[in-house]
Amino acid sequence: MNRKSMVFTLITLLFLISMLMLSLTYYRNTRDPAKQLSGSLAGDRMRYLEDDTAGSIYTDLFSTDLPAIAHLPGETILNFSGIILSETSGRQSLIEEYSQFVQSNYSGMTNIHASLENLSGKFRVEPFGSEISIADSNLTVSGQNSSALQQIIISVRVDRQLSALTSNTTPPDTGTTAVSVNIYDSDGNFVAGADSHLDPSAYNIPFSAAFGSSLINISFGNLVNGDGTLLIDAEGLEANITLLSLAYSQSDTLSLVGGRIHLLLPAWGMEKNADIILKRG
Amino acid sequence: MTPAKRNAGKIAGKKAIIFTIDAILALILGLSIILASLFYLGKASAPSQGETLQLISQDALAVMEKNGQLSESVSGATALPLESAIDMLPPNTCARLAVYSSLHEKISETLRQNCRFSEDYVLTRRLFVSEGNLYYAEMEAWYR
Repeated sequence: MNRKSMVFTLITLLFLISMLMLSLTYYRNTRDPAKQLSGSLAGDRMRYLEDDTAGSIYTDLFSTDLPAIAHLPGETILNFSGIILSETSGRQSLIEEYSQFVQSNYSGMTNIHASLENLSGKFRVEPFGSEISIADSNLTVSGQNSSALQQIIISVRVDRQLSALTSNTTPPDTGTTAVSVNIYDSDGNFVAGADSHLDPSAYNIPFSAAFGSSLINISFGNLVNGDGTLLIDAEGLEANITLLSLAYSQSDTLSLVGGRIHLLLPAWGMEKNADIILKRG
Repeated sequence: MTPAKRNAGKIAGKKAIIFTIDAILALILGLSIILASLFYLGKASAPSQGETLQLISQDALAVMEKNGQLSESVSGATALPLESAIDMLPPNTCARLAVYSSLHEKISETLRQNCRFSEDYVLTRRLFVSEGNLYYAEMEAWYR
């Protein structure tokens, strides 16, 4: 009888120990899913695929560095440089090709489902509500509160000679937003520009320089996209925006968001659907 | 021995057999659960060799892209940047690195020095853009 009791006790203990070990394992694996995910091989794989498809989209597709972000008391400054506007840049077709390649070929080759949604050369500047759109031959900044931008500095170099300049215009002061524009020719000679104070809710005469039928046009004010819209348009020439500085009248952490990425890894049973954060600072 | 005592002895003998079988079954079940949980615990913390190779390949390709070596290999039409890049892999690792256009045409191919090709490899890919054109690199890695 004593032996039977001992065997029964031992078996019960073994069962209890095994149940305890299983419970502990389950607890360890589920107490911090984010940590578990980031430390796991599946997490590494997901992170690699995200970095591969969306990590350097801006620099790859726009052939330029990410903008610099600076914070001063009461303002946040976003500085772009080296953006080339040209009707022959092929930027839009490259974006479409890239997006299509990721969705079809890359997904097939890596045995996943990857897609880039709303990838079109448009970026949101959060939390200021601006949308920056870079097309082949024009760049638009719009959508922000009309008083959000307090200063804009633009420096552009065009592939034309000062001697070929046929006309130029600069706007008179109409408001309080400081807009400073400098247009240079291919040799670095000053062509046109001025330091103006413009009303974001009014139609203002553009800063422009015409070389025969070719034209660089920089407008700020009430345009097609609403109040406070900035438009840089290069018609029939190549314009290298060496500096585009946007100063927002608020000091806050800024995020540049461009499209969304969707990744599905069927083999790992994992899915990710997130904004593509190009830069935060 | 009375018939009553003989019957009692037979019943006790049967009970003992039943209890022994029951105990053995329970022991087997208990040990299997413990072994299963130990296996489960061990599996989570020890990546296989293939998984380690995959991580090495992913890191190597990411570094090559961010350093511009992949881009240089197509813009300069030379495999030198790729040769120096795969030489940076751990000494016990062999690799073959090929670069393709988006139309799957092979642009270049490099095999690490003193390596013989193996059938037992891990395959990793990396997208990159150079001078407005889309390419991808394909790395096959294996242990020496």
